Amino acid sequence: MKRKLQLSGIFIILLVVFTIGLKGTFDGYYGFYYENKDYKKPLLYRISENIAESKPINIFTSYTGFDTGYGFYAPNVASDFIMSFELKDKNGNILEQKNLPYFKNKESRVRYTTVFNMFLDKLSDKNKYDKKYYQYLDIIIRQIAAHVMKENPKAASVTTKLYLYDYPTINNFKQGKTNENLILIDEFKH
Amino acid sequence: MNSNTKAMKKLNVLYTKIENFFFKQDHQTEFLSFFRVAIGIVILLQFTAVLPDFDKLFSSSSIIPQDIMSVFNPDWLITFSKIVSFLQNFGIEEGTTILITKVSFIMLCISIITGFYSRISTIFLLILQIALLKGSSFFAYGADFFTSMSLFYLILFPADQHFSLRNFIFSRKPGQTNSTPVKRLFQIHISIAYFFSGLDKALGFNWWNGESIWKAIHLPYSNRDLNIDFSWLIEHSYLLSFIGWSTIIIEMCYPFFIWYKPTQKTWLFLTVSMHIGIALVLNLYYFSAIMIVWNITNFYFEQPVKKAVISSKKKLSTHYIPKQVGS
Repeated sequence: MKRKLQLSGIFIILLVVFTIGLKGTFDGYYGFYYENKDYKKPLLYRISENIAESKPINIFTSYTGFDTGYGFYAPNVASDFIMSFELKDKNGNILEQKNLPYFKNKESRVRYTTVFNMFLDKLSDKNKYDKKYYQYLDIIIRQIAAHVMKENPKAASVTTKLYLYDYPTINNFKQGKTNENLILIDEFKH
Repeated sequence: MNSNTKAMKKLNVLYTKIENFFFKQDHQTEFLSFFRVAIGIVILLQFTAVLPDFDKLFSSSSIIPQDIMSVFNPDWLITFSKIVSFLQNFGIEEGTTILITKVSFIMLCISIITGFYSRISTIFLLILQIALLKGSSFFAYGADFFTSMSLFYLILFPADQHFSLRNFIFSRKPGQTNSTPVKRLFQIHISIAYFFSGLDKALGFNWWNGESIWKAIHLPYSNRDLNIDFSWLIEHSYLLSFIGWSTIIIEMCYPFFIWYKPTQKTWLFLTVSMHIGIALVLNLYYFSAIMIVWNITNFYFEQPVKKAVISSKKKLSTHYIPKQVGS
């Protein structure tokens, strides 16, 4: 009896792992190929979503780290962003220009740059996307800017620019376009 | 009736096979000690790495305020900011809570590494780690989720039964708890994870033509430490496609080749090599370290093909003889 209970537990956990993996695959696939398009979710997708989002499963996965999908850098490697800060004093003189807040450790920089994943939503069709979520993303950028400004006591204002980092494709690079392109997505003054 | 009996027999045989797979004790303990010590060290190093910037990432003065980061968190989720607020009701300032958290995190890691009541320590560490991770979810990445999962497995495993400070201090003999069920769960979990990781990549067209590899190695925050010049790859772009295809094959075929004894060690080597590459080029050191620990824990200590055959023959023969004598 004990073994049967243990086996049941194992299979339930494996089902959760499989379901979340499957949901991650659907999320990635439809997020990439059907972005800004109307589509009907397949039955398996809806089932996996319902299972993953049910409260008991959600509690279990949140407290164990099982709530992550496994599609790292998939289906394609996502674009990254660069956020630049230009700090000025009260007379409008440029004090410093930088791309990152001050960190003492590389690992902290890795953590900070994960925030940029959220800004991918800024690239999606503005007519299709939740406007409140856009405002939410803007608040995040403004908060980062406010923090960067605090790092320099002389700073009276900061201009923050969010760029999409566009590295040349293999073919473009072969044709001599070897420099990355920074596409301005948003600009904020604080 | 006859067909029902046959079906029942087949089901019984299947169940016995499943039960054997999940419960047959292999008396291996090295993987447990390795997992406990290695994961403990990785978590400790990752935590100490962010200690100088702890306030900027996890406190009320973090780069992005906690209340903004926790907008989408459900009420039942314990976050670090909730712990801070709760303790403030008792007059404990945030600075004190942060200090207690830092010290507790390090002490819990040490007790896991040394094997001193590691299971209970792991429960507390998992709660603390989840509180930090969910409270500052914008700063969390893959390594954090795999850290939580590792701690979950450390709770399930009788990890301090061997090679532990607890045994040394209390002169206890190593226990004989069967860890195979959890080990099998862990092994199947990692297989599913790699399969989906490979499948998801296979669905992206740029993984097949080398563009994804080209893009990944040129991301603005990649390749910062070694600064390797990859421009020469453009003349040999077939290599980029080859690396892309290899990544998909290594990951997607993992559940097949890692379980097949003759290819097990080769696949383990390929997978670990892939993670070393990720560490060096993408600079995701802790993520890679955790994945390497997961791989070694699950498949390095498995019996090699020859030994497995010999030992299974031995077991069969010793099992068989007494039955004959008894009959």
